[in-house]
Amino acid sequence: MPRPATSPALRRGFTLVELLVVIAIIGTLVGLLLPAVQSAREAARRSQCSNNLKQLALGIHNHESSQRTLPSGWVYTDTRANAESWSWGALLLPAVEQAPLHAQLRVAQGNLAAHLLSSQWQPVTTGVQTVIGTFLCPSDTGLQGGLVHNDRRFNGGIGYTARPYTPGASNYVGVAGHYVVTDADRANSGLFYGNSRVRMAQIIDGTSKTAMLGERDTRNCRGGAWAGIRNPQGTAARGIWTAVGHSRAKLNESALPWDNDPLGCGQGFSSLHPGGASFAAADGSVRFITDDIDHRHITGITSQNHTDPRNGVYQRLLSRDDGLTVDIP
Amino acid sequence: MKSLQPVRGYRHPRSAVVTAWLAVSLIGGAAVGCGGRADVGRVSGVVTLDGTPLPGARVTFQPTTGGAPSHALTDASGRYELQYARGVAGARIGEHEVSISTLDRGNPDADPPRRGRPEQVPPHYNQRTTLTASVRPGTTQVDFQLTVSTARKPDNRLR
Repeated sequence: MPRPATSPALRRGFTLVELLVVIAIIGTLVGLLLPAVQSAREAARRSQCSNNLKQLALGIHNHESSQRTLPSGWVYTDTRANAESWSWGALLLPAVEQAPLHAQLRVAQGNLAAHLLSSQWQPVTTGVQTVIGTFLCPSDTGLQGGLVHNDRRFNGGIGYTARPYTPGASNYVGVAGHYVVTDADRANSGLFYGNSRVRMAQIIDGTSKTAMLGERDTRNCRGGAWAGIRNPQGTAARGIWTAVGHSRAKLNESALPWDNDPLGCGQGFSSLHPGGASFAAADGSVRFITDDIDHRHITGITSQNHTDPRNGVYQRLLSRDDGLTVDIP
Repeated sequence: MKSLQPVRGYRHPRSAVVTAWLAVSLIGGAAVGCGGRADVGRVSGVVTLDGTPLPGARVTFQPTTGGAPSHALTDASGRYELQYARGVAGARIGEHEVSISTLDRGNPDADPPRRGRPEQVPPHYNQRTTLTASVRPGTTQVDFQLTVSTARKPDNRLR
């Protein structure tokens, strides 16, 4: 079949200008679409992140059902300096379907430092380095293989020269309350501190009006560890703040150093979600609190500062017995 | 061939229109991307103590009518720029109570340990502060000329 002689009109293709214009249009549309796709991805990660927070809050309620108290913020039985101690995360393991790990670590049979200094230290170290997905927030891009940041590393017992290791990370820390308090003799105004074992009846402000757990990211604020704390007497970067946070540091503080500054986010709460962080209230509900929340921390040496009516909304939410009830905004 | 000429004539204006539309949409998209917060104004300035710039000082602007505070650290030349939230520079528009402190606990846990620093600024600039500042929309320059000597006698001029 003879091909018809191609006329010049049919031979015509796209000119270079037309091609460039088409590419530019497609590029613009993709450019407009990309932020939407990225924010959808972040929304999915945030949803997973708050779901984990919900699981932990439910685990705490399971613990409360069986033990009649919330878990202690950390177990303060070994009063030696730098004695590594279990925190609420380790006590919570049976309630979040990690009972075998709880048994392997012998959490109920002695504190962390004693196990690490015994001849059976190796299974304890490897157990503490377990990466538990429920304790991790997918939005945290600073996580290093699910282990705590090296700036928060543990020493393997007591002191600075033993067997250093980095325990499994946690993006969720307990609410200690208003004060920078380390020793178990001084109660804090939140739900988790040394030997706290807070009962539901002690949450005077109401369980829906008191924050229980909050987020902390690894990239900016060095996160936390689910298993424990490195020094029950320490308020520096490697002290009690791997398990808990207080209300003096501003939510998502970004201007001040994270380490050993009571105003730095390494002792407070933060996330990499844009504009705020998720918190679990004591009733188990998970709320997103924006970082422009009213914040005023009445600071001083008396133990009554948390009841001062000049305190901000954020400070009131993080105290269980300040008598200043406020709804989560 | 003759039938092609009008087609050629139409193509150029059409592609010009497309290019113009493209440019407008690109500029519009870029403008949307860099929107700021309406209730926050940028704040910067210099902190001096007895006339010399004060590096490493923590500057806090606490809004007196409620809201979140802003913080900054002064650099080597005493200059600070307030940060309201991550990625948002400035402070809430309105009146603020300002406190300035050099107290730094250091970090004994760091490698190598970071040394702390005592408080150099008198308490009437931090714990019992009398400093105030007003933040306006746009950019506000607030310099603080602190003096140690006024700490010895009661000072009414600051209020």
